[in-house]
Amino acid sequence: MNPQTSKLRLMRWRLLGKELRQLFPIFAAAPVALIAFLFLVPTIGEFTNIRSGLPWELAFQLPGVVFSLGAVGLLVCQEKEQRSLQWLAALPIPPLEIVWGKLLAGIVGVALVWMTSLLASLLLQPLFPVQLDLAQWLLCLAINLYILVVGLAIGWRMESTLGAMFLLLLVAFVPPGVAQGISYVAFWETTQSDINSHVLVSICYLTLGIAAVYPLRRWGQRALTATRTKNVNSTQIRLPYRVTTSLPKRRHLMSPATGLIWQMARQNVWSLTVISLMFAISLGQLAIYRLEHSTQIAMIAALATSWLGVMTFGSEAFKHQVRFLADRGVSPAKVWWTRQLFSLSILSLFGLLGLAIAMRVLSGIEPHTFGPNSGELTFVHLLFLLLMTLVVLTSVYASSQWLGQHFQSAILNIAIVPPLAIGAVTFTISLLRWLGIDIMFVGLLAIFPMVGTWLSMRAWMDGRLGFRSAAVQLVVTTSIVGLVMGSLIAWPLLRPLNIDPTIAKEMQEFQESPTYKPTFGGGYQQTETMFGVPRRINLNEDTEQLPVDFRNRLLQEVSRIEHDLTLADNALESSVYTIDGMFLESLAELVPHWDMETTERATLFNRVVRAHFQLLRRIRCSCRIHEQDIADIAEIWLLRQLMLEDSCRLLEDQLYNEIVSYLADDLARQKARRVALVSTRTQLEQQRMSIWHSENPMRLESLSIPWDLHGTTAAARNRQQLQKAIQLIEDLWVLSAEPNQSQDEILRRVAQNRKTPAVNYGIGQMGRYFRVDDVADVTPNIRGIDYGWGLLGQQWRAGWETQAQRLPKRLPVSEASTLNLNVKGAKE
Amino acid sequence: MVEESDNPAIQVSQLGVTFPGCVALRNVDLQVPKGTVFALLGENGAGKTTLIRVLTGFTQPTTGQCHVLGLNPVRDAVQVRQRIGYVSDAPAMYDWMRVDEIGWFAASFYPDGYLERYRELIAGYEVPSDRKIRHLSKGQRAKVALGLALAHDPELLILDEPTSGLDPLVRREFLESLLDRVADGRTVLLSSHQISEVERVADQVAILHQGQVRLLDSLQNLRDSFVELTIGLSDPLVSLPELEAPAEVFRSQINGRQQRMVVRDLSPQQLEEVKGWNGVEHVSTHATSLEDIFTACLRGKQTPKTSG
Repeated sequence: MNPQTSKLRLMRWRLLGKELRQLFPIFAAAPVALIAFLFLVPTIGEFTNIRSGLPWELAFQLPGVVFSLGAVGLLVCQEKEQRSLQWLAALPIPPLEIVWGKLLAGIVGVALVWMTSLLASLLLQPLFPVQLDLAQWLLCLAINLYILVVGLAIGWRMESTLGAMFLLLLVAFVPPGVAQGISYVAFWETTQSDINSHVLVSICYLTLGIAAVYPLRRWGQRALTATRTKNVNSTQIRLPYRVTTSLPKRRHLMSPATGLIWQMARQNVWSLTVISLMFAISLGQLAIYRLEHSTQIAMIAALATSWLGVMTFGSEAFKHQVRFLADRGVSPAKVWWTRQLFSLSILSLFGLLGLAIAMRVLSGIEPHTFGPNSGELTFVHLLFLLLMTLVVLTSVYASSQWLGQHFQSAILNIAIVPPLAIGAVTFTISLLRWLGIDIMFVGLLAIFPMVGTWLSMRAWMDGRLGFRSAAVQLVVTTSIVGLVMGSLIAWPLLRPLNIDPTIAKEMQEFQESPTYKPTFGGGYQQTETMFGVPRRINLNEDTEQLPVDFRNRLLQEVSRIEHDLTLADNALESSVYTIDGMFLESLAELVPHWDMETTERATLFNRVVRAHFQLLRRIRCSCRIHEQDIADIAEIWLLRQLMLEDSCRLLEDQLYNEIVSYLADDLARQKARRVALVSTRTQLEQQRMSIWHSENPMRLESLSIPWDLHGTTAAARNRQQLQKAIQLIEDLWVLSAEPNQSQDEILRRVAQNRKTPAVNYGIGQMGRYFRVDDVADVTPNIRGIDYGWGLLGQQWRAGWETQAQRLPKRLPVSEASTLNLNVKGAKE
Repeated sequence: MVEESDNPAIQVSQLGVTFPGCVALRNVDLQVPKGTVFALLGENGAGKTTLIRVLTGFTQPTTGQCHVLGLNPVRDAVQVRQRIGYVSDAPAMYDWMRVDEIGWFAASFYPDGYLERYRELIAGYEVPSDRKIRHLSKGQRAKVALGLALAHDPELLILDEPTSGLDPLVRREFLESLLDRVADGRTVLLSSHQISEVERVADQVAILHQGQVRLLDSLQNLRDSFVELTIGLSDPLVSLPELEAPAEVFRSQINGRQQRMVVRDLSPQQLEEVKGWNGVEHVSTHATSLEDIFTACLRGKQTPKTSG
C-alpha cells in the first residue's frame, strides 16, 4: 500500500476517533434527557389538558434532537470557543478532512442515539404506552440529521455560539413550513387525510439537509483557511493605532446596581430577544388557540424560562468574564440580586401578560379542563392557575440558573440544562403527587437553587466553583427535601384514625343481625333477549332506517324495559337508572300531553310509572351507598308525580296505593340505607393506608365514593380521605338511626364537611336543604351522583320522606261510592 | 499602639497552599512595606500567581495567614479588591464593551473621578477609545487593563506580568509611572519575568522557587552582598573545600580548569583564604546582576559538563 495513502487513512481514523470522543458528554447526556422527558410527558399531560398531552413516543425521540444540538455545539462551537480549532487548522491536515470528519462523527453519533432510543422504546414498551410508528421514527431520524448538518454549517459560519444555537432552532422549523406550503399548493384539491404528512415532512427535512451540505463544506473550509481581507479605498483606511481625536461620549455615571443591570441587559441583547420571542409565541398561541395547543405552549414557555435561567449566570461562563467584577471587588450579593431582579422581572412581565391574555380568552372554557370540581372558570381560578404556572416556571428558572452557574460551557448550558431542569421539576411534581403532597411544594425546588446560587456567588465570581460544591449543594438539598417530605408522609401515618366506638359497636351488632343481607347492584340479567331483540325492532331491516313514527319507537322502548325488568331478579345499579329510569321519567312527563284517547293515555302512563317503580325498588335493594341516593331521587320523582294533580289522576288506584305504601315505609328505606352504610364501612376498614401511590388507592372498589373522598395519592391524603369517609359514614349512620328527630345540626355538618359544587338539591351547600316542592331539578343532576361528584346522603331528611308519609291512600271504588253517598246524605 | 501607616502593606506568615497532587506554596513569610516596589521573581510554576491569588482573595490558603492593607483577604476579599488595583496575568474584560464604555461601567464601582483618570490614562496609552475590547490587540488589551487598575489611584497595586505584550515605549513609561506612585506613598507588588525591568524599579525582591521564598531582601542589599568568584584551577580534577559561614554559595559551576561561584556575604578574609587554597592558580571577583542572582538561586550547584 502506498505509505501516503495509509498515512491519510490513519489520520482520518484518528480524526474520527477524536471527534467521537469529543461527543462523549452529549452521549452521556442523552439518557439523562430521556429520563427527564419520561417525567415530562405525564406531568405536561396532567398540568395542561390530558387530551393534548405529549405522546410517550416523543419522550424517546427528543433525546436525539438534544444530541444533534449538542453535537453541533461540541464539534464546532466549543472548538471555536476554546481556540482548539486554530491548532487543528495549523496541523498538516487538509481542511476538508476536518470538515468531513466532524460531519461523519456527528452522523455516526446521531445514528447510534437514534437506534438506542428506538431500542429503548421497544424494550420499555411494557412500562410505557409507546406505539411503534416507523414513519414517525424515520421522520425523527430525518430531523436529527437535518439539525446536525444545518447546525454544523451555521456553526462554521457564525462566531457566537449562542447566536448559532438560536438561529439553528429557528431554521429547524423551516422544513415543516416548506412541507405545509407544498401540501397547500400541490395538494390543495386533495383531502388532508390522503397525504401522509410524515412522509412529506421527512422528505423536506432530508432534501434541505442534503442541500445544506454545500454551505457546510464551503463555510467549513473558509473557517479553516486564511482569513480573507478586502481592498478598500485609501481614504477609508483607518490605522489600527489611530487615536480618536473626538471627545469621548458624555456619559452619566451609574450606581453599581444600575451598572450591573445595564451590563446584564446589553450583554444578553440577542438572547433576550430570542427568549422574549419564544414567550411571545407561547402567549400568542394561547391567545389564538386558547388551550388547544397547551402542550406546545407549556413546552415553549418552559424552554424560554430555562434559557432565561441559564442566561442569568451562564452568559458569563464564556471566558469567565465575571472575573472583571470580581477583580474590582464588586459585592457578590449585589451581582446576585441584580441578576435575579432582571431575570425575574422578565418572567413576571410575561406572567402578567399571560394573566391578561388568559382572562380575555379563557372565559367559557370547559371547567373539567382544570379538574372535576373546579366549577366555572373565574378570575380566582385563573389567578390560581397563573400562580401555579409561575411557581412551576420559577422552579424551572431556578434550577436552570443553578445548573448554568455550575456548567462552565455555553454548549452544555444551551443543550443540556433545559431538559435537565425541566426534568428535575417534572420529576419533583410527579414525586409530590405520588406522595400526596400539594404540588405548590414544587416551589421548594425554586428556593433551594436560589439559595445555592447565592451561597456559591463568590466562588463563582472567583472562578473557584467546581464539582465538589455542586455535589455538596445537591446532597444538602436532597437531604433537607427528603427530611421535610419524610416528615410530611410519616406524621399523618402515626396519628390513629378518629373512630366513634359507640357507632362502631352499633354497626357491628347490625352486621351480625339476621336482617343484614347486602346485595350489590348490577345490571339486568345477562340474556341474549334483553337488548338485542327489542332494539332490532327499532330498525327497518330492509332500509336500515329508523321508523318514521317516533312515538312507536318510544313505546317499543317501554316494552323493552318491561321485558328486561321481568327478567331481572337482582339489585340494579345506577347506570340502569341513568339510561332507562330517566327515559321513563321523561316519557311520563310527555304522555299526559299526547294526543290520544284518555283510556289509552292512562294505560300508557300507568305502564311507564309501574316500570319506573319496579326499577327503583330494585335499585333500593343495592347495598352501594350511592345507589341508595339514586333510589332517593327516583322516589322523589315518584312522589312528585303523586302530588301533581294531572299525573295523579291518570294513575290506577292499585298502583297509586302500592307506591304510597312503599314511599311511606320509612323503616324499610332506613334499613336499606343502613345495610349500605355497614357494607361501605366494612370495605373502608379493609382499606390500608399506603405510603406509596397505587393504581386505585382508596377507590373503595365498586362503592363509587364521591371524588372529594377518593384518595388519588398516598400517605397523608389517603389518611385524610379515609378519616373523612369514616366521619361521613358515622354521620349518616346517626341520621339513619333517628328518623323522627330533627337532625338539622348533623345535616349541616354533613353538608359543610363535604362541600361539593353543583349540588343544588337535597342537602345543599352550607347546610341548606330543599323541601320536596323544590326537587324539580333533581333529575338533571343525576349524572353528577353517578360519577361520584354528588354528596352522599344528600336527600336524607330533606323533608320528602315526611311528605311521603302524609299522602293519603285511595279507597277502593265501592268504599268510595259509599262514602260519597254518606256525605251527600249528611248534607241533605 | 502601632499606627496603620506603620503597618506593612502586605504581611504574609507561614503561608501554605496545597492543591490536589501539588504543593504550590510552602511556609512563605514576607512583608511588603508601604511606599515600595516589591518584585516577586520566580520560574514558571514557582507559585507567584498563586501567592497573588491568595493576596487578592481568589484562593484560600491551606495554612498560615496573610494581611493586605490590614485586611484578611480570605474574610474581606471584596474590601481588599476595592482598595487595591489588580492586573492579573490574563485580565478578564467584557470584550463586547468599547474601551471608553468599560471605563464608564467600571466607574460605577469606584469613587468620583475614576472615569476622568481612566480616560487620561487611555489617551496616554494611545488606545482608541471607541473600539470594542474584542477588536484590540494583546498589548492594547493590557493597556486597558492597566488603565482600569490605575484609574482609582489605589493604595496598593498588584501586577501579575503587567508588561507582557506592551511595546518598549509604553513599558518604559509605565515603569516610570510606578516610581511616581511609590514617591506618592503608594505600594506596588510586581510579579515579572522581565528581570531587567524589575532591576530598574524594584526596592525589594523576593525570589520564589518551588513554592518557597529562596531569597528576600532589598535590591541594594542583594547587589552589595552577592559576588561572582572565578577561580582558575591548576588541575580540573582538584577538589576545593567548602566555604564556611557567613559566606553562602548559591551557585557553583565547574567548566574545565575554571570554577565559577555566586557567593553571598563573602568577607575579604574568606576571599584571601580562597586564594590560598591548594590547586587555585588565580581568583577574580565580579559584581553580580539580579539576573545572575536569580539564575543562581534557581539553578543552584551544577555538576561539571561532560562531553559526549
